[in-house]
Amino acid sequence: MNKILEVKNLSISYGPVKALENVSFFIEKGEIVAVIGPNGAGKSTALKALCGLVPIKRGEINFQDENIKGLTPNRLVKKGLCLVPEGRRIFTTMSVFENLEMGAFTVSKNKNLLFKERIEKVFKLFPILKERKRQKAGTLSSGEQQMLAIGRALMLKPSLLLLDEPSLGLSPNYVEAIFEKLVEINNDGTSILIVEQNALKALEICHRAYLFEIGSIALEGEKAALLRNEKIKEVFLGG
Amino acid sequence: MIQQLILSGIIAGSIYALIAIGFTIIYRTIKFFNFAHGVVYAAGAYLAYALFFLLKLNPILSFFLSLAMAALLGIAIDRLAYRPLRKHNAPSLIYLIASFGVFIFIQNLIQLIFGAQILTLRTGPVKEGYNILGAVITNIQVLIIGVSLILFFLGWLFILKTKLGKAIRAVSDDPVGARVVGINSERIILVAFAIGSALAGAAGILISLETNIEPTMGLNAILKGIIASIVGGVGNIPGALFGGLFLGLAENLGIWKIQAGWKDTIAFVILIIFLLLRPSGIMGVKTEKEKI
Repeated sequence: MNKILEVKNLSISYGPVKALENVSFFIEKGEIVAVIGPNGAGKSTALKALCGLVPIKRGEINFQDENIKGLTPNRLVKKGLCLVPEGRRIFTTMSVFENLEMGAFTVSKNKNLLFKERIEKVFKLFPILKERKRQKAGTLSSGEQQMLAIGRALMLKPSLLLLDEPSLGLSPNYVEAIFEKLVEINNDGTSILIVEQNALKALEICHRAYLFEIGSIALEGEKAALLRNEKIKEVFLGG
Repeated sequence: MIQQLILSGIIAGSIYALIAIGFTIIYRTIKFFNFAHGVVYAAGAYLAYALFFLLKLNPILSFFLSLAMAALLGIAIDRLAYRPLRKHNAPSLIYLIASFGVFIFIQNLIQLIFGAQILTLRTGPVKEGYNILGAVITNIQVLIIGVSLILFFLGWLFILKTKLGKAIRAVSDDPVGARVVGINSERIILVAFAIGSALAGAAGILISLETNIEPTMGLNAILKGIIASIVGGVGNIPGALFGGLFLGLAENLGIWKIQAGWKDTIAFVILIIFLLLRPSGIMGVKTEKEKI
C-alpha cells in the first residue's frame, strides 16, 4: 500500500512551550486513522500543522509524495487536504446552500457542472441538508451543523479528510449518525484522519490509531491490537 | 414646509445610507470602526473636483474615475496602515487610533494640495426645481437620491449574490471557517475596502453637487454614517438603509420648530438613546465580543 500522508519528526512550539516533539505518523490510502489522547496532548496541534494553520518548527510533511510543509491553507485545499475544524466553524448567518457554495470557493467558476455534481453528492449523504438548504446555518441543531461542516469540506472533494473533534458537543444519536457517515465517506475512497476525545467511538471505526500523550506518541497500532491493549482499556474503555 | 423638510431628510438620508453601507462592508471583514472611511468620502469629492475642473474630463468619466481612485485609496489605507497591525495581532484600540491617524493624515494632505478654502462641484446657477406634492426638488437633488439609492442596492446585491460578496460574509461570520475552505481573508479584506471606499467616494461626490467641498467634510460624514449604522444595527446592510433614512429624516424634521443649528445635536441624541436602549440597533442581532 502507499502512504497518502507521511509526517516525520514533527516539532511545534507555541513560543517557549513545546506542543509537539519529534512526532512521526502516516496514513495509507483508503485508511481511517484515529488520533486519540487526553486534552493538551497535541492532537489538534498536529492536525492544524497539517493544514497550514500553525507554523512548523521542525519536521517534514509529505502529502501524495509531495512536500507540503509551509503551504498556506488555500494551496492545501486545492491539493485535496481538507479540514473539518473543531467547533464546526460554519458560517452561521449564511444559508446552508451558501455554506456549501463557500466550500467550493476555490473551485473555479467554469466548473459549474462539477459544483452541481458535488453538491448532489453531499445532499445524498446528508439529506437533511437538502431539506434545510434555504435555512440559516446558525438555526441548525449542533448535529446538523456538524453535518454541514463535513459537507462543506466534501465540496472540495478531498483525498484526505481531516476531522478535529467531530463528536464534541453532540448528542449520542448524532455522534452515531456522523460516525456512520464517516465510514460511508471512507468507503467512497476518501482517506480520513480523525482526532477525537471520544476514543471508544474513534477506535470503533478506524483501521489504525495513534495515542498521543504530552506532545508525543505513546502507542500506535492496528485497531484490534489497540482495543486489546491494557493501557487503552484502562484509560479509555473503563477497565 | 414639512414636505420640503421630508425631501431634505431623504436627500441627507440616502447619502448617510451610502456612507453606512460602505462602512458596514468594511466593518464586516475587519471588525473595527474604520474612521478613515470619512476621509475617503472627502477625497472622493476632491478627486472629482480635480478630474472635472482641473483636468477638464467629462463629468461621467470624472465620477467613475474618482470612484476607482477612492477604491485604490481604501486599498492603500488597509495595506499601509491596518495590515501591518494585523500581522502583529494588535489589540482593537490600536486599530481605532490608527484609523484616526489615517483620517488626520489624509485630511491634511487634501488641505496641502487643494488649500483650506471652500470649493464646489456645482456648475452654473441653481435652476428652478419641480414642484412635487408641495416640495420643490431640483434635477440635481433627483440625481443625488437616485444615484445613491442605485449604488446602495448595487452594493447590497454584491454582498448578497456574488461569490466575493458571499466570501466577505463568510470571513465576517467565521474567519477560521473561511480559512479552512481556502478563502484568503487578506484578499477578501482588500475587496471589501475597494468596494466600501468606492461607495464612500460616491457619497462624497454626490453631496458635493448640492453643498460645498472642504477638507474637513469627512468628520461629520463618518459620524453620521456610524450613527446610521448603529441605529440600523452595526454590520447589517438593510439596517444601514433604514438607519440612514431614519437619521436624515429625524434631523430634518427635528428642526421644523427649532433652529437649524440643532441638527447635529438631534443626531447625537439619537445616538445616545440607541446606545443606551438598543445598542444592537433596529435590525441587528445581539453580537458577541465584537470590537468597536
